[in-house]
Parts: sequence; C-alpha cells; structure tokens
Amino acid sequence: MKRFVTPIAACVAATLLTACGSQGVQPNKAITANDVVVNYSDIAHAIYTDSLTTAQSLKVAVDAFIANPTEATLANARQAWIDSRVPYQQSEVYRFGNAIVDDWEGKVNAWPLDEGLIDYVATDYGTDSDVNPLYTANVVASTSLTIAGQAVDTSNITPSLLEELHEADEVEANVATGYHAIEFLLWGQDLNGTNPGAGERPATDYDVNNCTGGNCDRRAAYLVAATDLLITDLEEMAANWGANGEARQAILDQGDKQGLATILTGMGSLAYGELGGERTKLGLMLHDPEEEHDCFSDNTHYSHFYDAKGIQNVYLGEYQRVDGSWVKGASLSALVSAQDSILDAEMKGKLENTQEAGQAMVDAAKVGQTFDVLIAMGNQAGNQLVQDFVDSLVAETRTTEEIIRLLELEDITLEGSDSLDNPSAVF
Amino acid sequence: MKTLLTLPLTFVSLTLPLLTSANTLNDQSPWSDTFNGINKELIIPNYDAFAQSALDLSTGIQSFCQQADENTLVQTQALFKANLSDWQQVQWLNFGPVTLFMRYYSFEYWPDKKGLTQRQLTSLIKNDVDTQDDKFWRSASIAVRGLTAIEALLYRPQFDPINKPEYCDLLVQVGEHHQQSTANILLEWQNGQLEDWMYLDEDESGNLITLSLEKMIQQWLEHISMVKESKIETPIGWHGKTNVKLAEFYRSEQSLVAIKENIKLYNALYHAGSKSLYDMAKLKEPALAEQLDQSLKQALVKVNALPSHFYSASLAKDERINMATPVIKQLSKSQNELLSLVTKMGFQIGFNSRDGD
Repeated sequence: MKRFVTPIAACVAATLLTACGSQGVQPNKAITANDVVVNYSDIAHAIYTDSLTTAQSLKVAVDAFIANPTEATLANARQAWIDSRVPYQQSEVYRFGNAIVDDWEGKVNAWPLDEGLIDYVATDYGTDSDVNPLYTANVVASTSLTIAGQAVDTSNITPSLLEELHEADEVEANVATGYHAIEFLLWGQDLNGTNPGAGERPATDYDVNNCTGGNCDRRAAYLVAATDLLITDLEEMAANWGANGEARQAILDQGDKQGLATILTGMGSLAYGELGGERTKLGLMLHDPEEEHDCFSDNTHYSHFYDAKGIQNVYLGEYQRVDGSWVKGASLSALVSAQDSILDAEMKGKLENTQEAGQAMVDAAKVGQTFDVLIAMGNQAGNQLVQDFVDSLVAETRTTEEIIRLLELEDITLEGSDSLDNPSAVF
Repeated sequence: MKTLLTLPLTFVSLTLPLLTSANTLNDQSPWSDTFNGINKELIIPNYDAFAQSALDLSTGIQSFCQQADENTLVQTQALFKANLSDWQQVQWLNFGPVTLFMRYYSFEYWPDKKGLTQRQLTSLIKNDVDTQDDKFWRSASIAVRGLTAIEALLYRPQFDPINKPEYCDLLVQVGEHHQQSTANILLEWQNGQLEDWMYLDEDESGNLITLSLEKMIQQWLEHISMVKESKIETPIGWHGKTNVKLAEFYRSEQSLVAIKENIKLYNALYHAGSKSLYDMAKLKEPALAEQLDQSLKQALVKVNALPSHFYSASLAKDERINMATPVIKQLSKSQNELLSLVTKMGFQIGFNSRDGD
C-alpha cells in the first residue's frame, strides 16, 4: 500500500485514514510494520514539502528585503526564516538511519560553522584556526580565494559557487550553504555572549546606496544564492519521499523489520547522541554560545522543541502541517501497544515529558532567557532547565531501547555522545 | 566512531568498596581477583602518579610565575609533559570517580575544532573573571580546565606567560584546580564505594564486579579505537585531508609520546594483578590469550618504530600513512583479538569495531 499525501489532499487523506476502506488503516485491522513504514514515508513527504514551501516563502521575503532593505523588510525575512525552521526541524528524525537523508543533510543544516568564511566578523572571533585555513576567508569581500593551493574565482556569487565552497578544503566548519549560512546573513554574529540578545546585523548591510559592512551587493547576491540553493535542495528531498522517490523506495525495500529498525534508529540517535548530547549537553559543559544550534538568531529553543516534536511525530504516526492540517496513519505506537500497551503508554509519557521540557525552554526564551543565556556559567536555574531537557531525552531513549527489544530488532546502532556517558553525575 | 548507546543503569542496594575484600559479595564473581588486581596494581598507582605529577606541575607553575623567564618556562613545560604522560596511563578509563563533575572531560578537551580554549581563556582575562573563587571552578567550562588549558597557556604564543602576568596568574589557578581534581579522584578511588559508580537496572541481574570489569574492557576497546582513529588516522589524513594540528597535544609535541604511553598501558592492563586477564584467559583460551599478548607487544614495537618527527609538517601524507599502517593494523588486530577473547570468556561487550582497517 502506498499513499501519496499532497498539501491540498492532506485533510482528505487524514479523514480517509480513520473513516474508510482499502486506502487507509482500518481500526479493526491489525496494523502491520509495512503500514507503519508507509505512513512514516508519507509524513516525511509532507514535512519536506512543508520545508520547501516555507523556504519558498523565505525567498519571497528575502527578495523583498533585497529590493528594499529596511529594518521592517529585514524583520520579515528573519521571521520567514524562523517559520521555515518549524517543519525542517521536525524532519531531522529522518536523518539518522536513512542514508539518502544523512548524505544530503549537510548541505542544508550543517552546524556549527566558521562564519568568517562568509562575511565580516568581529575581532573577538580571532584571525586564525588550527583546523580551518579559510577561517576568515570572507567570500563577500573577496573576488578570489586560494583553497588548498588552488585559485578559486569568487567574483560571481552563484548557487554553484556556494556548492563549491561548502566544506571547502575538507573542513566541515566551512558551511557555505543552508539554513545557518542564511541565518548568519540575516542576523550577523551574536556578540552578546551568554547575555540576552541575538545578532544585530543592520539592514544597511544590504543597502547599496548606504552600505554598511562593505560589499552590500555581494552580500545580497550571497543571500539570494543561498536561499535559491536551499530551495533546490529541499525540492530534491521532497521528491525523494514522493510516490516513487528514492528514499521512500529505499526504506520500503528494506523489509518490515529493517524498516522499523530505521525508524527507531532515527528516533534514538536524534534524541540521544545528537540533540541530547552534541546540541544540548555539550553546551552545558562548555557554557559557550558557540554551542548554540541557532546561534545568530537565538532561535535554538524552537529548533530543539521541534526536533523533539519530530521524534514524537514519528512514534505517534502523525504530523500537523504548516497549514494546520494533519497527516495521520498507522503508527509505531499502535504496533507497540498491540504487544505491550504499558510500554506504549510509557513511551508516550516520556515523549510528552520531553515536549514539556522543550516548552519550558521556549517559555524561558520568551522572557529573554534564550538557550545561550540558559547555558551560561553560573545560571543555575537556566542550566537546570536545559539539563531537564537532556534528562527527558535520555529517558525517552531508554524506553526506545525497550521498544527495540520488544520488537526483536537487531543490529541497531544509536548515535552515542561522549557528553552523555554519565549525565546524572554532572550536576 | 559510532558507539553503541550505553545508558546509566539504575540503582540496586549493593555496597562494595572499589577495592573489594575477600569476604564481600564480590566473592560471587569469578572475576573479583582480576578486578581487584587491576584496581590495586594499575588504576590506583596510576592515579597516584597522576596526582603526584599534577602537584609537581602546580608547584612548578607557581615558582615559574614568581620568576617567569625562558629557563623556568622550559622547566614548567617539562613538568607539564610528565603529568601528561601520567594522564595517558589513566585516559582509557572513563569510569569511577573521574565521571563526577565532568572531571574526565575537564582533564582534556580535545579535539578543540572551534578554538574554544583559546577564546574562553582570553575571555576570562578580558572580562576580569575571578578564577580564585571556588564557585567559578564548580561550574567552569571544560575548555578552560586541565591539561588542555595548561598546554595552551604554556605553549600558545599569544598567551606569553613570561611577559603577561595576567595569564600567568590564570595558569596558577588552572594548575591548582587541576591538581585538586587529581588528588580528589585518587582519594575517591581509594575510599569510594563501587555502588557510587555502577548500578544494576531494576530488571537486571548480574554481579557488580563482573559488570564493572565488563565496562572497563569495553572502555579499553573503545580507547583502542580512539588511538587509531582520532590520534593517528585523522591528523595524518588517513581518510581525507592531513592536518597534524588535529593531533592530540600537538603544541607541546607530545602526540606520539601519548600513543606510546597508551600502548604501554594496554600491555600493563592485560597483565595487572595476580589473576590478570591474561592469566584467566590462559586457563580458558590459551592460544588466543597468547596471541593477544604477542599482538599487544608487537603494537608497542611498531609504535616505537615511528620516528620522533612523525607528526611534523615536513613529512608527505603518503609517507606518513605508510609509516602508520603497521601500527594501525597491529592495533586493529589486537582489538579484534581482545574482543574475541573476552567474548569467549563470557563478557557481553556491546562494541562494534570498524571494518576495513
């Protein structure tokens, strides 16, 4: 059974799933692993399609800003970027386990980045790095660069040039493309350290008639090219999860057990190693704003919240689209419940706990305690709020492991994290 | 390296000293003598040495800062290297007291791909942070503690502790905190309870000693991967671009020394105690036990054959890879044999060794 959920058809499809015949999962029919994998693929398609449409909205806002660079149009572009993160972050649970996504993901959401590759930076940023010869290359200000001994013509800033510069010289921190490159171009560096406040790039950085920061035309060209490229990349991934898409086919071809293993690999790896460890716990250990995922915009609370939401979506087999409609279908939850309803209830509870812990960070951000402030040295209450989020992610991963055992899935490797080896002992 | 997820286990009501006695519950474990031997003859003496050289280093730093010149700097750097060498003897074990208060990660923050140590140390001085306050060290970033920070302050030209007393004062504070941490860990190893570090899940059965030893063996296996991949392969460009600055403690030129110390430790670990892992293996799997013993010895021979300038910029990539290949292969062989041996001896190790080395 394959279903194809388009934005327009989503509400209709959701109704069909619960109400009628052969296209949906009937309440009285036992849910199969294949049903779950198909619904998982449908949700992926919806999420990446939403990511694409919100990126297209971002492009509209960027174009309007470039045409008329004012603080108001800049604010609109920033808001469009924040909106675009809502669906995209919910897609991250698909990254681990699906090789097609993981191989592609670096183009759109690579982090952390050495922003000096892209544009001007403050003196505190420093001038050199042990690992990155392009630490302060400043593409916006340079019409040519030398990369690994080769001259590269950067006079025209185009999507293909940015692709060439991405991870230049085999350095991962040379992030030339994707959400975070665009974020930097919209906000600039956050120079507030662990104090409240995000990047404060002025709109005049794009005003060719009243240019601040120099090279306003090239900065605008960079922003446009990066946004265009983001759209192209998201088109590719949305298509990969479409009716005959490669990613959908790949997971369906794996067979039932391996398909479920892929789903659980994504859930556990994102919750534990990536989100709980690399993006959150490490921030607490280093107390450094560089450890903030959305470090220019201070939008990390929402990025983390929606990352966790994505895990919950996959377990519950549902996703609320940006237009408010729902994609719902056969869920891992139902499959688990059929064998062990107590374990299913436990998992739902753990996922909800994580949502509450994520919401607490969102609430804190609304009163100025953004993630970089929360992880500051000496902010005990803030640190604890972040630690609660980590703890809830660890707890849900423990239950994920129990589900893996229940379903008798083998050879699952969840991403680990050094910073989480003994989290309860740290504070 | 992808590691299998290991979550902290929950508590059961067992109370065992780290160094267990004959009449305690650990007698139920066939591994109690081996576990005690490793503790008594390897871990505690190595932490003792680490704490002692950290004290020497801290004292040396204080003397240096009272009369900072090139001579005293060189003397202090020598003390740093001695302490670093002792760290390499305990680095394999992220278990026990070192897991508390982020101390394992505080001894060494590496690789520092974003230059956080440099930036955060600079920031401490720029913002006039009171590093003499105990409260600071209770929550300080791991990037400004321990050997990583001390190396940066002693070797990075920008900090120049001879001519910049503010950085020398900071060095004194980092050194004192480092020394206190090592002394505390030693004390806790000597007097702590095993239950402080190891727990059984509510639905889990097993012997705490056996499980502890199992965890130690797992960490040994993972450390071999760390030596192969992070300490050797990555900086020399085994899978990509060469960047010797990614080597461990490259500023103090201790990268190769560190690896030699690690492999020396592997040999000692295998033979630690009156009923060592080697002794126990000889009883059950004599051929494999001997094979591993030879492999570990060979690993030491091969790493000792690397030239002292192995990590210097003057070597070509291919040349360096050719030199490293016998070491990498020998370490992989040792790792595979160790995994095979301990599995046959009944340990359940959740470890995936990498293919293709």
